[in-house]
Amino acid sequence: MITTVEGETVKKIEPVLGYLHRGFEKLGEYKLYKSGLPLTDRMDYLASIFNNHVYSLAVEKLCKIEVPLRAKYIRVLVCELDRIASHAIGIGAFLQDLGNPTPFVYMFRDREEVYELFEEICGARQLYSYIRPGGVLLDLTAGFESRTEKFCQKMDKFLEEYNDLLDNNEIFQLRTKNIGAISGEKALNYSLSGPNLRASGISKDLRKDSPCEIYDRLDFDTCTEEAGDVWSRYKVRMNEIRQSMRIIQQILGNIPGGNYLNQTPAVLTPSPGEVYTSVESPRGQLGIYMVSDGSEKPYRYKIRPPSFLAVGALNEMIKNEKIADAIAILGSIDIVLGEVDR
Amino acid sequence: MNIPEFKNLQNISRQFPNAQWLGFLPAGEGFIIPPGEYHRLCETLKHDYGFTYLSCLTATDRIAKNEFELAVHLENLDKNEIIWIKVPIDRKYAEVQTITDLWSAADYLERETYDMFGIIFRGHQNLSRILSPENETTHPLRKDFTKAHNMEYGREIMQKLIQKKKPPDLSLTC
Repeated sequence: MITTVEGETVKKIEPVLGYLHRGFEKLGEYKLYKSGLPLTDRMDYLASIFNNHVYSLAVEKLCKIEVPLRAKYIRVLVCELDRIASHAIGIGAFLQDLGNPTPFVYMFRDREEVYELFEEICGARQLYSYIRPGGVLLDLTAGFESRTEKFCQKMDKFLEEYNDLLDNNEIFQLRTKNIGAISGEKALNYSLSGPNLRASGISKDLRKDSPCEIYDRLDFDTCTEEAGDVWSRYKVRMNEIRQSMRIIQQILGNIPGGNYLNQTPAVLTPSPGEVYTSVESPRGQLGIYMVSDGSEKPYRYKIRPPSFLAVGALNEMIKNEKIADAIAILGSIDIVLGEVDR
Repeated sequence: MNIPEFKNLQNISRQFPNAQWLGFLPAGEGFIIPPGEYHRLCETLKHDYGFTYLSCLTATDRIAKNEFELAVHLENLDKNEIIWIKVPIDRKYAEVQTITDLWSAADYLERETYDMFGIIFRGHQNLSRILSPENETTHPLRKDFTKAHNMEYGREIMQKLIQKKKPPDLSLTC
């Protein structure tokens, strides 16, 4: 970030982007609809199941593919597991930016459990390509549900540990309260979404407003905080881990039997048209705008990345703060550069 | 997300007689509007109809019709509605007015569209490349930017790099 300072205070910040630009939107135009799915993994590589989910939703809407009920339950279960893993690394990296490397390693202990669960069902620890158009790639293994239940109990204890060590820590509170505040109206104007928006007092969650899959049958709260500063964003993410665990408890034991994937031809040719869908990823509203012209490859698809717009709002948040606080604010908006640059 | 209310859509199409009102699933409802009235339509939608959230701003290269198609998606968060606006822009002289005065989020989104397509947004404060390097001359997402073009371009850069290397000076031995 190119920073213009006056003494210790930051006057203007100009992020320089593009170092991770790999041209996915152009590459996607040369791949078939189903072959282009592993490309989308690599955009938001820390919560990659959501990229697969949003791409599959768009392809299903264009080609009018139905998804079986069992696959919908599995999709929600897997998405919430990945949300916990993503928030863990988001908070861990933020705390490391503040100068405290221990929670980063502790969070990786939790993330390792999620990796092992995913390795059972899809063979990959990251970049899963598990959610495909028509359902999910493979069925859950035997005993998966009991192992997920054990993970949830462990995570509960870990969360209490983090709360004990961090929440009442005076130094942490001094470094994060009233830093980098952004008001609700400005957050809407900058099109922030997800935890960044909910921390400013605006209670909007795509899982409640336009529920996809089976989110309308589940019972969970939208976590909101009022202040819009770094502390609120941290609290919102911590609370969201608890709500994700609540969703997982409701799903486990209630997954219906049946088919997990509706077989579709290898080469899909939708009729000409376009679609815009979005899901609630751990960073915000992850959207996709897909245009098809009747051929077997997408004519154009654009991913609307929540981190890109969060970087756009950085200047507003960091104005008139100290340089050390600028690092804290950058860590708190939880961006993934793979998504910003695509 | 729901589609907007029918009577609101009727009012909008009456206020903007040049707007084509096309609704088709799965894209939802929206308007195709000429570039001259684009900013006025965005302003009306924001102030009068409550579409205060900018979701997406991007372009598609319709090379067959010789035009770019700017696509804007706006959301009404209170009523949970989404509407799209499409603006056909001439491919040779690609210019349209900016909407950064209405939404600050459009700043980065318009810069990305300029970078990838070459569409100039009149009135934008800092229209510069954001994802490609600063000295890039082409606009990658255009349909006439093909893989062969890119490989040729890469070859030029490689040759310049090879020419800069001088052979070792063997007369300087210690």
